[in-house]
Amino acid sequence: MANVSEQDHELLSAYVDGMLTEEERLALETRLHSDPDLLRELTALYLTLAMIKQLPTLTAPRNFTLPAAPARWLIFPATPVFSALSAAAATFLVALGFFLLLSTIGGAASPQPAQNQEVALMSNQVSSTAESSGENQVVQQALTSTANAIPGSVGGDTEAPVVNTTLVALPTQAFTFVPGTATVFTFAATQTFNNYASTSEPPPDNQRDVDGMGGGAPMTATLVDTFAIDAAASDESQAADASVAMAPLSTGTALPAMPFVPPTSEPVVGAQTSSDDSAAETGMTMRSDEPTAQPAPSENVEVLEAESTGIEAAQIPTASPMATSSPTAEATTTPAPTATPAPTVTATPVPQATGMSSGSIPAILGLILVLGGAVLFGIAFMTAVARRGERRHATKEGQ
Amino acid sequence: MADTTTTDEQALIRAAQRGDRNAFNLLVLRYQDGLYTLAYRIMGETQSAADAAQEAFITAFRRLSTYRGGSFRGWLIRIATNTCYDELRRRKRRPVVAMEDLVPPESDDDAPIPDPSDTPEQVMQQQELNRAIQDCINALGEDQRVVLILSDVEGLSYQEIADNTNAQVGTVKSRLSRARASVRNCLQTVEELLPGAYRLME
Repeated sequence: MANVSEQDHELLSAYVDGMLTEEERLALETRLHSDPDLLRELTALYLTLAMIKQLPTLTAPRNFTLPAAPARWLIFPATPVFSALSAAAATFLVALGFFLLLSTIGGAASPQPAQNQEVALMSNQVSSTAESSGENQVVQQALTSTANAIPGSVGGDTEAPVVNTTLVALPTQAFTFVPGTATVFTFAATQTFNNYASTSEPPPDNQRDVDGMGGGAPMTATLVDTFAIDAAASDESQAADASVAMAPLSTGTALPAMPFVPPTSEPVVGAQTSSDDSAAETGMTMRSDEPTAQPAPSENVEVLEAESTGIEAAQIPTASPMATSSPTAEATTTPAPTATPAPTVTATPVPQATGMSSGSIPAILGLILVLGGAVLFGIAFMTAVARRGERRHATKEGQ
Repeated sequence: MADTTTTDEQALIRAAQRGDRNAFNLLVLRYQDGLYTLAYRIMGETQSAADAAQEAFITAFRRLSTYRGGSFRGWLIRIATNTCYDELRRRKRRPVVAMEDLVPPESDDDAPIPDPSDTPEQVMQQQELNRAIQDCINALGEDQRVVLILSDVEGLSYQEIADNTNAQVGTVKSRLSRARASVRNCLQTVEELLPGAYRLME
């Protein structure tokens, strides 16, 4: 074997492949002419390459064609990425859905009783309405004084019971105050007389007329007063004297038969005027009523046309005289109220606690999210199974 | 003819990229012998070469979207080379001996159909020479073997070999030189099998 260095072998190998530069090729060829060992090595290299190149192309032992694609029972791509994304999205949806469900269940506080809401709504209405109109303030004062005076006068020497008066000022917007005229407002005042705490002890006779029930149980009386407000009393300073500015209509005062167009809202529950009660002539009636029904602020009083007087909310000319009789005196002569059919009042349903209806939406949404997450989990699982099946199928074909 | 073949091949490739398995299988039939031969020369035995070739075609089908044009054969060779490298490294970690390797093959089943003009003796001699050469190639290290096969069997350039093996051109040149010198020295031990002209090398 010729003694040829490894560097010469590399030069010869590159020379055979034509990978030498022009200078290198010329230098090598010059050496080949003078170095027989180098030439012999080059010859051996050529022969080795010839034997390697003559190796035949083998015949594949079988066809390496791919099998037909398996029937896709899944419309989703059976890729690892899709499976991973599906699983991650499913986890997120399930977690979010459970969060919504648990927050809805935990935050579903007992809704306020409808009654309390009614009271709150009415209080707000009262306060807002009162604030908007000085007239109402004066009217309330008058009602309060009147209400407080009534039991005392009726009871005679009995001590004035504790009266809790909840005034519901009807929305003034239902009545248009026309300057130069007097507008009759009808207010409903619900009074709870706590004087009669024991049902076993009947009240004194002179007090039975007050409540008209003859019982001693605490009751709620609905005091309905119809006041005619003088246009001149619109001024707050003048309206301060409620007994003058606003007083119940005296007996015999006939209001002009003005058509009264009640507002579209339902009348106030409990706010009634007696149809055949002489007290209605004075515009003042005390009667027992469904005690707990508090009129909704949006309701207006539907004044029943009394049989005798036909008291109505009407536009009264300023010049109409108004009696200034004391309501207390009237009360004393108030006969026992007859059973007046309750007006067909349909109370406007007080809106329920908003938490109930709004709380169901997150719960439903949470349930939907949980179900959606379960579906995605199923899809991720099926794609993984399909991918394994395809791989197994391809392996079998390869074998 | 070559242009028509190339045009047809490009049409098949585009169809295969759209998911047409039949089109890809036509390409497989066209290149499977060459790819199997490459795998056999690198792996050194039949079963491993078949597995590597099958795996290479499956990989090629999955990565069809990465083919950006050029020599489709060269693209397949690169995939097959990497597949063989992976298998060789796996064998190095867990050496296994196939049952077929325990019994030397009595005949070269994979050899092509011999030339009908050759005598049986010539056919037998040729087969033995081929086996000896393959044995000398198998004796090389993995890096030298792959470089030698890609250069002298597949006809790739130094740069193409460097791209396939993730090596420098100078490294490829050096490995190739040593591989050729090793095979030359190995063949001298079986010179009785060599043609008369090869015996003059001494």
